[in-house]
Amino acid sequence: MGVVLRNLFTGPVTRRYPFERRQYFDGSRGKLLFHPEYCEFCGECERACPTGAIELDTAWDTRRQDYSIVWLRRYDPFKCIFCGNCVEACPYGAIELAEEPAAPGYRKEISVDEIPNWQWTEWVAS
Amino acid sequence: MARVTFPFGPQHPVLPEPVQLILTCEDEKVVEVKPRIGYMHRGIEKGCELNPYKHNVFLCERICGICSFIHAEAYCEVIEKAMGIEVPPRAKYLRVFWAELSRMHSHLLWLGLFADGFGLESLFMQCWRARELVLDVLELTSGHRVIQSTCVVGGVRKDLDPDQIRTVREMLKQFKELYTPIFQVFQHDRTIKSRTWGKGILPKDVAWQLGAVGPTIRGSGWAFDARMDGYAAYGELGFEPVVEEGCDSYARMMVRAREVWQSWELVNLVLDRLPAGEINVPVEDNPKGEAIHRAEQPRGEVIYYCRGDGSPNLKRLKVRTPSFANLPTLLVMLPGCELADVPVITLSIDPCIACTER
Ligand code: SF4
Ligand code: SF4
Repeated sequence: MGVVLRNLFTGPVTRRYPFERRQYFDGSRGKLLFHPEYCEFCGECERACPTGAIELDTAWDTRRQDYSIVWLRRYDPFKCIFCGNCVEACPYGAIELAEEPAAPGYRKEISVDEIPNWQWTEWVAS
Repeated sequence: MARVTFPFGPQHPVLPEPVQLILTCEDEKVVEVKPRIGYMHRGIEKGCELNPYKHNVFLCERICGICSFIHAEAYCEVIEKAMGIEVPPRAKYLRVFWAELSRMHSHLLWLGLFADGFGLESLFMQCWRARELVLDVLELTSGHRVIQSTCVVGGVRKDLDPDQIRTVREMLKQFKELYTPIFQVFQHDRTIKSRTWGKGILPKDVAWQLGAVGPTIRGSGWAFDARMDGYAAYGELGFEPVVEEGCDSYARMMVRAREVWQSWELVNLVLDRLPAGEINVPVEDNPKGEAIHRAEQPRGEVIYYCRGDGSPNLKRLKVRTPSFANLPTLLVMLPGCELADVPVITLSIDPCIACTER
């Protein structure tokens, strides 16, 4: 009886989800953020990744005529298990794990980032 | 009396995972049962031979979603044995910390499903509500609710800071308040006793002969637990297994319900005694030779075997999981019982098919 009365006058135990979001703890492993401006194309993250979600690649720059190359980083969020190995491996702090999880995707899209290729530019200039 | 043979599963409301039992009934009595497995084979053992050995931790963790940390721990310990690595004491204690929290959440999940199996929906909700708190502790300390990914070869990846320890202690106190009434319901409720008391008898000697492990054999009166070996920090923490003499579903349920308390105490003990120091040692070379390791999972004893030849890939990894050892006991428990008791008795061994078939 006491339990019934208590439950009658207390609010719901569950969260009312779309209106009330859960607070994530510090250090939760949510989605992976990449900052290409810090990246040095060293390849540590590709070697550390257990699932092969990160691939580093080079390609000809079709926007320019002088046969320069672009550095590309392909990241497949559907292969990624959010283990954080790449974050620990990156010596330049270019990868970061955010606390909120990634939104569900409609299509299996691989995100491609271009990494600023300063070495090539310097080499051409010198 | 005409005999009827029909399939039970692989898809059945009480079975969380696909296993098929082919039941032969006479009237309402089960006279024969044949389990059939093979619905979930994923080839993880082969996958482990193709990956570099350090990456396998994350694959082994995914053998089972419920006891994921203990799979990772057992894998790391077998590799450490093969390579002769000594893990720092703080890492050992932290491994016990996460392993016991995993056990708590696994047992609470199972107690909830068991309550659901005999129709007590609100008890199911209460168990999972208490489990949510344990999952919060796991997320706070490791960054993820279910797949912790904190164990690596050579130690652990995350450390606890004093702030976290204070919060965890607070949450564990809340958990005690939540779980005490639930435990009393499991212990004393008449409805639960009428569905479990004297059902699914597994006699003491038969349990040993069939090689049952975990709560299934401890519910039949054997003090048999891989944690008694004292791997990780269990030796220093002074571990005593929980044993019940009943040999029936009730005894197996009580073993798990009491083990939640035991794990709760172990987690508190780890927080009290956590030694200072490093949390991992760098590991450079590759495993060579073979090793075998036993660890205790929520469902029983898991055995890892590995063989390496000095290359980054293992030559062989073999995992013997607890549910595979526990499935044959159904052949003894089920014949002679009522058809309506089949779901409850099947659940009482906590079948984890994802482990069994890997
Ligand atoms: S979080 Fe893990 S799986 Fe995802 S890209 Fe980084 S290393 Fe690979
Ligand atoms: S993200 Fe970091 S680890 Fe990966 S290539 Fe760039 S600098 Fe190297």
